[in-house]
Amino acid sequence: MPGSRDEASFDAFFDAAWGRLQGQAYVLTGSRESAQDLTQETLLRVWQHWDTVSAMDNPEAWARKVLQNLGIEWWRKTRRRRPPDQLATTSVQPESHLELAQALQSLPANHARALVLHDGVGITVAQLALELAVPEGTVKSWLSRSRRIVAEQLTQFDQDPAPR
Amino acid sequence: MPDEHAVTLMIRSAYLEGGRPSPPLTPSELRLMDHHRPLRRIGCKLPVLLVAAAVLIAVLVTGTPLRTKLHGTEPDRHARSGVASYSAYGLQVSIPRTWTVRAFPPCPVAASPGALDIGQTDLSYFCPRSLGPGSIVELYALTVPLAWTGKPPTRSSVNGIPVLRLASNDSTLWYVPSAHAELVGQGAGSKGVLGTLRRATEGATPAPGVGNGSEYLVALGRVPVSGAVKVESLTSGTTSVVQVVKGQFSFSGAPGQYRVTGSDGTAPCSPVRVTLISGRYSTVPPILCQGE
Repeated sequence: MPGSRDEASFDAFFDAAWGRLQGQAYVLTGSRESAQDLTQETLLRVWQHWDTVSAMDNPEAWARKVLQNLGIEWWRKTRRRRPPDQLATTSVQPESHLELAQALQSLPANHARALVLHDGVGITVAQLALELAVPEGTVKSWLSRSRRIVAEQLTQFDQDPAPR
Repeated sequence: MPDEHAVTLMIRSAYLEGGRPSPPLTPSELRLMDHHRPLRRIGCKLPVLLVAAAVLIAVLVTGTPLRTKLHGTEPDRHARSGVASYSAYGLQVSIPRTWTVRAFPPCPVAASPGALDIGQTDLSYFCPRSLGPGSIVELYALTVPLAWTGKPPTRSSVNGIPVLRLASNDSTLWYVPSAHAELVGQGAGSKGVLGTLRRATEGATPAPGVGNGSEYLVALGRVPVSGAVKVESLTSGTTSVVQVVKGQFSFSGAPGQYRVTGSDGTAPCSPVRVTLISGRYSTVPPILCQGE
């Protein structure tokens, strides 16, 4: 029931979380417009489940997970709509951000999520371990491995800017 | 090859850059999309066609020369949000894009899924209430001092704007003292729209204003003229022709300055200027055409 959800607490959440979620979305997509769309869609879903989400220990963690999943879906649709070799050229964003976003797609979903949340949003390894329900050691290993893979991907893009 | 630290810096830099732009909509506008959502999720053309048909019927049934469909520059910040914002009297409300928007309608008529009416005609006092299905929100300025009858209103604040609220079983009335304006909401969808009330921003489309004028042939006395006048926006440069009936004419347009030029055969008529104000009536100075 929309009427029974607490609007005031959602408004406060919206104001506090928008920038962080949009930043996360931008890292994932490399596109400002898409980042805005994903953030909006994420917060809409948060609102639709606000009764449940607001009772959670960390509502923003739930929102981040929704955003990450929407990001994966976005990449899937984007690839389907546009030939891969046109992805970079159709974006008005600096190419490095789009390449970074593309490189992140080569990681397993959980690894990409950990990397973006740790290196981008600034969430600590301990918090991530809780959020991802894995030991801290596993998070550290994911982060290190993911950075290496992303670095390799970016180098590959530099050497072979053609179809990807 | 970039090292691990360089990757971290790239991610951090993209995150900071991406998080900077402010939200294109407010939380209350986002909530509006929630009500609006089922149409999109169905992903079927039929509901869209039904809404379009309802809007078309509403346009055909309630149309009058004075009524103006709001248009103008699309607010960028809402371009993809499914929500559109309109302003008048220094206030702003947002509606789902499926709603109908009308300026100075002859009578408020609820539409499905909803209608936003901005401005009131002088004849609105004679209009019946609660017509039609769906929801309606009216926003208009008062031309007379406020007079409450019955239950005293409740003082409250909506997005920082002090309002006096009066709610009955089927409608909600808000008076905004700072704008000397009222908002009336009826129907299930009106509550969400009322909740988007805030001070006008540049992203909102300003409601048009209306200019009322007169044209006379001046010889020995003043004779009302019938014919047409040319109305030119000094802001956009667009021109239109407005009919004059027995010396009286009326036109609506985006807020700004207009030049109105009359014509009466060979008699020269001095052009006049008028400034239209969003959501309000303005009086055009009389156009006087010099006869023999």
